[in-house]
Parts: sequence; C-alpha cells; structure tokens
Amino acid sequence: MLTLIGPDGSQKELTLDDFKALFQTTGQGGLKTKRGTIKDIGTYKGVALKDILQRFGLLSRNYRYIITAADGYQLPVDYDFVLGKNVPIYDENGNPTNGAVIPILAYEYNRKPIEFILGGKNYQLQLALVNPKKTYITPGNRWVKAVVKIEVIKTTTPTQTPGETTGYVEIKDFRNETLRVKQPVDRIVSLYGLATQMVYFLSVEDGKKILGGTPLAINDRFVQLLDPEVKSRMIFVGSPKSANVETIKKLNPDVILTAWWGDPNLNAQLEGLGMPVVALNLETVDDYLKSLETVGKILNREKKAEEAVSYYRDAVAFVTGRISKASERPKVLLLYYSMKDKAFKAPGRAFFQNELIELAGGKSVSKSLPGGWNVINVEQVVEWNPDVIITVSYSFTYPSTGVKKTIMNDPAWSSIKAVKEGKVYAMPNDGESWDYPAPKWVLGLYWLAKILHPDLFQDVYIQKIADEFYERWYGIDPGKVTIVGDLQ
Amino acid sequence: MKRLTGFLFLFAGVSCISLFVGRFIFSPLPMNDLERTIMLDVRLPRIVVGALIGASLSTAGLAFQNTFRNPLAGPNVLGVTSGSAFGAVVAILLFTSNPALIQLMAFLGGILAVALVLYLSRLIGDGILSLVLAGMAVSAFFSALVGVAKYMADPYDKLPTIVFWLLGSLAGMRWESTGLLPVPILIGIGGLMLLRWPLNVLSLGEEEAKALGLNVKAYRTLIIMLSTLCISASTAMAGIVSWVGLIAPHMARLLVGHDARSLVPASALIGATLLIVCDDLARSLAPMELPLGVMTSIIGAPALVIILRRRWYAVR
Repeated sequence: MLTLIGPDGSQKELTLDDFKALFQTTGQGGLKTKRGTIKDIGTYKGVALKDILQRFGLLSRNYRYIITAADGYQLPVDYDFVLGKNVPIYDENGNPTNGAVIPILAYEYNRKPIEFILGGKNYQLQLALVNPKKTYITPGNRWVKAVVKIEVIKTTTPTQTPGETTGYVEIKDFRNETLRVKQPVDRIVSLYGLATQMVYFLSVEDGKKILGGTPLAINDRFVQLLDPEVKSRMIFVGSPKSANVETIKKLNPDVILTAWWGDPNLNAQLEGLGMPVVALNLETVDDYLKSLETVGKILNREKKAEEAVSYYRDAVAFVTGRISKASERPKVLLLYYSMKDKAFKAPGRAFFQNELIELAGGKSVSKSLPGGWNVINVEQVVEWNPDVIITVSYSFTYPSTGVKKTIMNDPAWSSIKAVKEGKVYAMPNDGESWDYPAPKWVLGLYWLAKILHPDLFQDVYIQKIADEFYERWYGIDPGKVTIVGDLQ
Repeated sequence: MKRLTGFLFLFAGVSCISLFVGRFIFSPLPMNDLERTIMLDVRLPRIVVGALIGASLSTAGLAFQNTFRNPLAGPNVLGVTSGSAFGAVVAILLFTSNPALIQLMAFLGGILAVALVLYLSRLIGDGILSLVLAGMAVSAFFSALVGVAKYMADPYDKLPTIVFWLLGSLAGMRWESTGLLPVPILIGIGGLMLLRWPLNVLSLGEEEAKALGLNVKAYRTLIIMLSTLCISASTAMAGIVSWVGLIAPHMARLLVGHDARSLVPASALIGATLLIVCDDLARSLAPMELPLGVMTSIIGAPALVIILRRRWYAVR
C-alpha cells in the first residue's frame, strides 16, 4: 500500500495492517483550494508522518522527502514540514491565523475508509494536516491524495547546527536568504546570462563547470574564445522567470545562479529539490560588486573577487575623480537596435546603462523612462536633442557600427545635435558588449568617459586598458580578441 | 453614398491633422528643413502605412464575416495572423538583424497557414464549418509554436523583440521600410472591392448563393486568398494589430447597413481612420512608443459600444 524508499535505495512495503499497528493520530482539518474554496473539513484518522519515518529511522534534518501520489503528483517536503512547521494556516473562513497542525497519512475520513479509485485500483491513503482539538484549514496542494510512495533523499544543504560548517560555505543572496552551498562546487547551473559571464571572469575553469545556461551565454563569442566547447557542453535550461526544473535536477548542480527578479515559485521548486538558489542583482555598480563577492565566495575565488572589486572601485574612483573637473555634462542617449527597421530602444530607469553614463560624466536622457528597454521614436530624440549618441548592439550580424551607420544616413536624424556634430559612437563589443553589467562594464566606463570628456582623458588609451584587462583577468593573448566598435 | 463621402472627408481630415501630431511640436508656418523631414519622412509614411493596414485588415475582416456568416470572425479566423507571427518569430530567432527578411517570412507564414487550412478543410468535409475548424486548429498550432519560440528565446535580447513584434507597432516605419508589401495589400483591397456582389450573395448562406447561380466554392476561395494577401502583408509590416479587423466592419455595418456595395468601402475607410488615430496616440502619448495592438483595443472597444448605444437609441 505504501512504499518507503530509503536514502540508500532500500525499499519497504507497508500494508494497511502494518499501518494500524503504528501509533494512531486522529484530528480535524480541512483544505483551501487555489481558488480559495474551503472543503473536505472533517475528522481524519491515520499515522503521523513523523511517526512513520521515525519508526524506520528515516527522520532527520539531513533528509528531504518526496511524497508521490498514484497519479504521479509529487510533493517535495523537508524535515520542518514533517513536524508541521512552515505551513500557512487559516481559520474556517479562510483567514490567516496561528495554530499547529500535524501532517498525517490518513486512512479514515469521518470514520469511513478513504478510497480513491484510479485506473481500477483502490488507494487508501491521503496526506492530511490535522489538529486533535481544533479545525484548521491548510493549503490544498499539501493534501496529496492516493499517496503510494515516500522517497527519502539526503539533502545537499542540510540545516546543520552552527559550527559544523566544514564542506559548506554560507552566503546571503539578494533575496536576503541565507544559503549553504557545498564546497567545492563542481556543477553549476546559471539561469542568468550575466552571471555566467561573471563566473568565466572569476575563472575559466569554473566557467567550464556550468552545465546549464541561457542563450546569452551560450552564444557569447568571448566565452567561446575562452572555452571553445561551451556550445556543445552548456545546455539551455531556461531563464530566471521560467526554467525546466526536471532538466536542472538531472544536471544535479551544487548551486543555481539566478537573478533577483526571477520567479519565486521557480526558486522554491528548485530549493525543494535540494538545490541552493542564489539570486544576484547586477543592475547597479554597488550591487554588481556585491554579487561578485558572493559568487567569489561560492566558487572559492574570494581572493580574485576581492582584487577585482578593488580594481573596479579604483577605476570608478579614477574616472569620477577626473570627471569632477569637467565644466559640463553632455546629454547622452544610448540606443539599442530593436530589430524593427529604424526603430530603436533606450534604457529605462531599471537598467545599468544609465548609471554608467552618469559615472562617465554624462546625463542620460532616457533615465526617467520606465523599466528596461523602451522603443523610442525619432521625434522624441529631436525633442531631447542629445549632445552625444551611443549605439549598442548584441548581434554580430548587425553590430553597433551598423546601427551607427543607419542613424548617420537617415535624413530624419540629420538635424539632431549629436548627428550634426558627428558625435555618434558605436559601443565596443568584444563578443560581450561593454555597456551591460557583465565584467567589461569597466572598459565601457573608461571608453564612455573619454568619449564624453576627451580633454580630461588624453593620457588614457582604451585599447591599452582593454589589453591589460584581458591579460590580467582572463590570462589570454589580447591579440586574439576582436573588438567591434569605435575604439578611437 | 452620401455617408461614404462623409467617411472620406473624415478620413482625409484625420490624416491631415495627424501630420501635426507627435512628440515634437512645431508650428507649420514657417517650416524649416528638420520640421519638413519629420512631417514628410517620419509622420507621413506612418499615416499612409497605418491607413493601408487599417483598411486592409477591416476589409479582410468584413470579407471573412460575410463569407463565414459569423459576426465574430476576424482576420485570425483562418490562422493567417498566427502564421505570420510564427514566420516573423522564426526569422527573429534565426536571422536577427534583417528586417526585410522578417517581413518576408511573416508574409509567407500567413500564406502558408491559409494554404494549410485550405488543404486540411478538404480532408474534413469542405464547407464553411470545416474551414473554420481547420482555421482554429492551424491558428492554435502556430500560436503554440510562437509560444515555444518565446520560451526558447534569449530573455535579454530576442524575447523583448518578439513581444514588441507581437504587440504590433508602426515605430520606425519609413517609405523604404515598406518594401513591396503595399502591393499585395492594394491587390487584396482592390480585389475585394470588385467582389462586393458575391460578398452580398455569400452573406445569405451557401444554399441561397448556389440558388442565385454563384459558384460558391470558387468565389469563397478567391475571397479567402485576397483577404490573406491583405492580412499577411499588414502583419508583416506592423506585427499583430488586434481588434481593427473585427470592430471596423461592425461600426461600418451600424452606420451604412448590410449592403456590401457601400459596406466594403465604408469599413475600409473606418478601419483606416481608426488605425491612424490609434497610431497617433501610440506615438505621442508618452516618450516611449506604446504598442499599437493595445491602443486599438483601448480605443476600438469603447468606440464600438458608443456606436451600438446610439444605434439602440435610434431604433427605439
């Protein structure tokens, strides 16, 4: 009737009589469906989950449990759940309240045997959350019907008592979650393309541990230069908002990197399967550097991360120091090609590019627009009349230089100040564009500062800084890197 | 006929006013080079293309409504729009940077969808019902493929492009960006104008049309082909522009009656006017372009209710 699978793969079959021989728990309870309907209130009789597990020595903080129903539905739960903790509890009207419940495997409902007929077979167990004295309502997705199997798995992140940190590193991510990640990390899944680029920056060796990624990273030509096999190794698993949980579990990563704006339900599912999820925020300089430290800690590259953080901070300090002597801050418009002929996009307030422009001594005209990329009409550009236009492209068939050419040759753009004065510049791209929060944003900062204030940065040579960057941080021959864009 | 002249004036008036609507505000007299460029090279092409698309979508919508005798039929009843969307999305995923290729694939996608519908409908019975059912199936299939493509797309780069494309927009529309697409639109609208009599007869139902000596099958196929030219070319230029093709024929019907002889030109003019107004709002309400498909629903739905209300008043 019930199959118990231990962490070592051993199987135990329990019959209803075995069940009745265990310590019995009776109590009331009911469930609340997704739509908010409350139903199935009544008295349930059965055996508490903790009693079954304890009887067979399977109750431990170091285990997680997957409860499977006859129809294949699976509910992954942890130790706390078995004890009835961390379950939302409502009163009989469906309003949140305080109380305690015990998860039991019930075989009687209102004194009658429970029966679920499925495919001609009768299943007699239901997971129910009950209280011996008072009726509490709990979310319906916990009430698994026709339970046939409980699988016990050793967790990769056991909740240990403090002091036992050997083999694990504890970090705090951008959701303010404290997580434990197994050390050393051998397998990584990165749902956030920019995080993948960060891992390669910290070490190519660690980059090769990324087994699942996003198209941004899989098609990244700079990453391909560092790791020629990336395209055949890294598989596409989804994005922070929607990813294939089963594919990821099959890759069995030690850690999953995602973005702070990712889907919380997805994160919960992944964590429920015992994989720690680290949410990063890269959209401001400070958060970028904080994320770099976090990833450095996870990968045990703390020293390199620290050096890199001080390198980035020095660069920002150097540039802003020089900029403070500037007499004026030109109006800058950053344009990204939208793939619709002659329609372009500008970054809204949520995007890193605005901060980059401000740090480099410019005023971003699009910084008050909402969210991320916004489609911009040439009329609006005429209205803004920017002093400088920066073109950006992440496509190799239509690079930023192509976007620049389109703008320069379009009569409708010809009377805009930047176009008239020839101050349209194509953002360099070495396989990764220098404008977004990937490791090369610092090169973008130097480059932009020199574009906006050439007189203040006469002694700064972008190609030289870039070559040093490639050699120092990636250890590659700068001659192998092809940069497309206006490198002066 | 008098009503039609009225619509023509309304259309002309709205088009002229639209030349002076936009983010960049200037007085028309005197006009400098920049202002002339904005008016003639930025706004005028959008107005012309918007009018073409509005007219073609509503003519095609009307043709479908009459042919299928279904007031809820719109341009996507046979899956043309979904097919076009699929073509465009494939092009975006495979050849990112070639707008002309995206347009071509969108155009061919719409035609492919209808070809499939015509073929499938023969397999399942060959009548109005089988056409509509085949259309539903094909539409659902291509929409699902678009969904798959969205899932596979890079969330930083291609997904926003696909979403932008699917919501419809005339952003960046210039004289040179239309390519040859106005040609199928003009053929489609022109053809449907000539087929006003068969459209009248078909709206009576298949039996009656046969009794009146009409080769129902041949005319139906011809009307579907002309409408497909209209819809796939429009979708190729502007993405998915919802509602206009459904709503403009209804407005026209409420205003000029059911006779296709005046109904077809009236829907074309109303569709064109409606789309121009919506595009004016889409490009001038906010610093960024708003999606055209959203605008048409926001403006179109209340407009329909107002006309229905007035009509109801008149009947009482």
